Amino acid sequence: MRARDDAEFTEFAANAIRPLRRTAYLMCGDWHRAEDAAQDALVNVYRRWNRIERLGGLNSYAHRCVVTAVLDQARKPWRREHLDQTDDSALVLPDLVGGIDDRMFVIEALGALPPSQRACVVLRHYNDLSVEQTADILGVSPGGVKSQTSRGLERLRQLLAQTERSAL
Amino acid sequence: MSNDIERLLAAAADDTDRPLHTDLDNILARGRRSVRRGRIAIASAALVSTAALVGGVTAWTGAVAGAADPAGITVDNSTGVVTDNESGTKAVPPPPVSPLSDAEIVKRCKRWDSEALTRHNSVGNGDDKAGPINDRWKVILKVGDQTKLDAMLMSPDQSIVSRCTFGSELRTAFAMRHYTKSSVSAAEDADKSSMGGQPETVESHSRIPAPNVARVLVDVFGEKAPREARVSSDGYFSEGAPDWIAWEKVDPTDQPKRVQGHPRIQRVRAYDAKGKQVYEWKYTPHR
Repeated sequence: MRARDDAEFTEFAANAIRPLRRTAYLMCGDWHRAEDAAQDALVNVYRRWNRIERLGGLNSYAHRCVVTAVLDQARKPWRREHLDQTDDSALVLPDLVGGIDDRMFVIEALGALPPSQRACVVLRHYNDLSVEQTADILGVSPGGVKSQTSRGLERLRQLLAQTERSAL
Repeated sequence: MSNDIERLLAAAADDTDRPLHTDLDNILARGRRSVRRGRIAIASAALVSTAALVGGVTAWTGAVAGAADPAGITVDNSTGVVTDNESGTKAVPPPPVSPLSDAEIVKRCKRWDSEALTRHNSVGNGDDKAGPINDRWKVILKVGDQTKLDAMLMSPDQSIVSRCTFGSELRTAFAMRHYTKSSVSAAEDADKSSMGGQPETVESHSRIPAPNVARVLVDVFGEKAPREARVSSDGYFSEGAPDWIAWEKVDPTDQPKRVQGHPRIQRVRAYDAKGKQVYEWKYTPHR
């Protein structure tokens, strides 16, 4: 890759790394894994830098890479072994003031969703991507995105409501 | 409707208290390594594919070139022995070139050719204008040894080939004259369809009617292995003068077959320099 392309990529990566990490975090609930996934996604973007359509396609491709990276990580056996174990340092620090950290509840509730529903909810309601963009990233039909998102939201609300009741 | 969820998600993903540990230079380096590995993989795959393709084509070409043509022959370059691929038998080597000089051959054949010319004319072959053989006739093929001779002489006008054959001990001999062109006129062709307008040199198994003939195999009645004939540049060939005494010994009790006209030559096959068959004639009874 030429130096000019490297400079352009570095600028893109600097802007995209945090959003990608946040998306990955919502998908996996672990800041370390999220950062790894964001890095992997950016490496994949670099590999296809000259072949990606810059206008519109770049962001979609980066998100597709990060979602794939998170799902790939979850499939790895050495990751699966620790899936149910909570890494205290990786989770959001407890809200020392409020006592209860809403953020942790959301992450745990998201973690209880099936991966496809989780991905749909995150991409549609956190990243503000359209149904078509989400379908393209996940490689499913728009109808599938709609139904998965709907079920995911419904389940997420149930889980959060349960958490609130138990917290009271 | 889902604003509450969006708000919760945004809050959960808040990373203001999470410093970034990623080094962009490290990502660039990983990306470059990945691109390099990809290029190497593509180049390797292309190289392996090309090598496989070239190897396959080479092997295929070699196999095609090296494969024995089932209808052809295989020549052992060190011994010169010819193997008939069809039967797998080794052919009897060609007869030696006669040590007699051309002048001596003309001298010896004159008497017998004269008789043949008389016979030729007596059966109405008025087209034989070549006259008796003399020193102007060219010896185109001569095979044999001190006891046998099979010679072919071409007339100066190239219309007649006189074949002069001496059997065992050079005691018995005869000569035949053959037209080098079609032996029958167009008008006679219908009546003599068996001749098919072939030059007599072909009908008499003196010449192969095909170009680029390098080797000829002749199957002789009573012999298990085919004989390799000696071939002239014009396709004239001789499998060797018949040994009349031996011929009588082939099967003395088999008179009826010979009475029925079983020819001495049963099959003639010709091959080009690569061993590919270019001509075949086979005797078929009741033809």
